[in-house]
Amino acid sequence: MQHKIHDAQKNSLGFWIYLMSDCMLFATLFAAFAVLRNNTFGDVSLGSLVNGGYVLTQTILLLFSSYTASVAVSNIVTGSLKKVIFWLSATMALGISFLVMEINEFTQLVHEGHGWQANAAMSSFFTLVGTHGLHIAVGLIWAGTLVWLANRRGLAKVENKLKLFSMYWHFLDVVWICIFTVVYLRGLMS
Amino acid sequence: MIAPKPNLRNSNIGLVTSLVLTLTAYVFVVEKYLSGWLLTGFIAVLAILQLFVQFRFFLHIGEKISEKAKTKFLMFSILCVSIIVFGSIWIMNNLNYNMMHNPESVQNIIDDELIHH
Repeated sequence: MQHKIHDAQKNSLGFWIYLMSDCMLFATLFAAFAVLRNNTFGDVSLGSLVNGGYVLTQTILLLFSSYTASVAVSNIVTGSLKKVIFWLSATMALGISFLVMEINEFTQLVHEGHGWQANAAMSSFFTLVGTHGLHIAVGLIWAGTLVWLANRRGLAKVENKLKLFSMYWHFLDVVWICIFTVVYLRGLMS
Repeated sequence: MIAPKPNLRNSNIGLVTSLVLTLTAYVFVVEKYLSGWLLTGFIAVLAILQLFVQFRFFLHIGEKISEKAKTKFLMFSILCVSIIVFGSIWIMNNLNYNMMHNPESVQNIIDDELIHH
């Protein structure tokens, strides 16, 4: 038992180190964005393309999904598989809504001629926001397999995996807060 | 035996404060309650506060002594991220500054540096 707890802690620390390295990846993308965001090559500024209410909705969806993921982990102690799966599914539903909104935003931008090939500012925008979206997509697949695994093999088997997933999901929320502030709110300001 | 209840205190605090901080930042930007560098500084502070909230209440950093290693990794990451982000901005701004190929940017430098000639 003692051995098992120790392993779980090591797993958690190892995963944390991965998250911090992911942090570096996002830092480089943020740096590129900060440098390039005004290089629109004569096109309209990024700020004029931002729909404030739309992005705020996305942010709130992600904040709530972070909460439901946290509730799913808290429910492990109850030993109720149903409750954990319910909250994990809620997280997935919110995550999917977020991703659908993001894809919709991207398609609209591309259709209006503001795609990633338009100028350096749009390139850095799509790379930064798209990388976050890709992480969300991977997280959704992960959550899906956890639900499947929990149904098949019981709560005890997924307990630690679920904790790691929730760390990953909260981390993405943290990155999104930075994107919301640096990309969208600063965009709205100008 | 009564089934143990989940402890949702941290999650609830985290959710409410995150929502309040996000909405405050949004309203201040949209309603233009502040402007210029003051507004930039204000939303930056709100974002940093929210990062603290996320790390403390959702990622449980600093909650247990056993998680000390995580805090150390986090601090080191913050250092690296700052160097990457602020270093890049600093260098690239200077690079633009040193591109003296057109007369306009030369004039800008002369104006900025208060060079009299």
